[in-house]
Amino acid sequence: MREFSVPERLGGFGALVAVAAVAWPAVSARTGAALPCPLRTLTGVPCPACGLTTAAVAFVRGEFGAAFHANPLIFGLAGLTVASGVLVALRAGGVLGGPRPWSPERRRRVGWLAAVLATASWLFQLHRLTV
Amino acid sequence: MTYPPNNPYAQVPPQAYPTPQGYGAPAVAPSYAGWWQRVGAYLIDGLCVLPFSLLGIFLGQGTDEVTGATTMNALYPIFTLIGVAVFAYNRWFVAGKTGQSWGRKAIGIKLVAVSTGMPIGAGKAFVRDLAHFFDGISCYIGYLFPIWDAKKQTFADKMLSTVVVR
Repeated sequence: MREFSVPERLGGFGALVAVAAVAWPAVSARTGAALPCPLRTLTGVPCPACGLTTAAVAFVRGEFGAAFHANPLIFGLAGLTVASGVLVALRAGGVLGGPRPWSPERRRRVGWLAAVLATASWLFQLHRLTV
Repeated sequence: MTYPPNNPYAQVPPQAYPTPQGYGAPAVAPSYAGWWQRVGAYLIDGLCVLPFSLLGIFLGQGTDEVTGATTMNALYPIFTLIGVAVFAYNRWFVAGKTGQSWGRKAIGIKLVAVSTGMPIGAGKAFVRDLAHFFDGISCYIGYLFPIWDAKKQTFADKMLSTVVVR
């Protein structure tokens, strides 16, 4: 099996999140299990990923408004998951060639984009949970 | 003449871990273990301890007939200690000595030092598991780092200079 690219791996993680989000409410209700934010538990300050569990559960139930309110990043992960699924299928079918490593410049740009998204998400969570 | 001279016979410094040239390139040693493999190995390691946790819960816990509060008998700490001992033997002693906990062995991956490519020893394996604290405190981002990191390392791996290889 070929080595998957980073976007494809993130898409695979997104698929895992989707499956987990379907099962999570039943598991949580039966066992009392929770997935608390470590940063918020220790310091009281929310992190950029706060609300993602709630957002994922709401998203797979089709409650998109609630999902957005909890953490809009879930829409990005969902889009990446769908796009990478299509990409993997096209590559497996031979329609597209295999992935090629990104240039350092492109990696740097994507790194900055991720940092900007994380910062925006953090501001969103600070506003949602502390204001 | 350019410097350094382009001497084809010059001794090439040993490179323990040549970097893969691309996603489609043939595998070159070492091939870093993927995130799914690492998660699978960790789950198997957890399953090795699960029976003792369940025995502790089912045989060591009861309910007070008067107050209805949860009670514990001597079996609870005994099974808890056995579980901790099994975890320590597997994750620190065995994995430190061979590079493979039972979970990693089942999946076919190995924990080694970046510099030597050899198992890291029980002490370092213990410290590495402690360092997983930083993978968790960072909103679990550290645990996800192997998805996009060049060497597929968690924060704990970076701190201890370790990699997980196939």
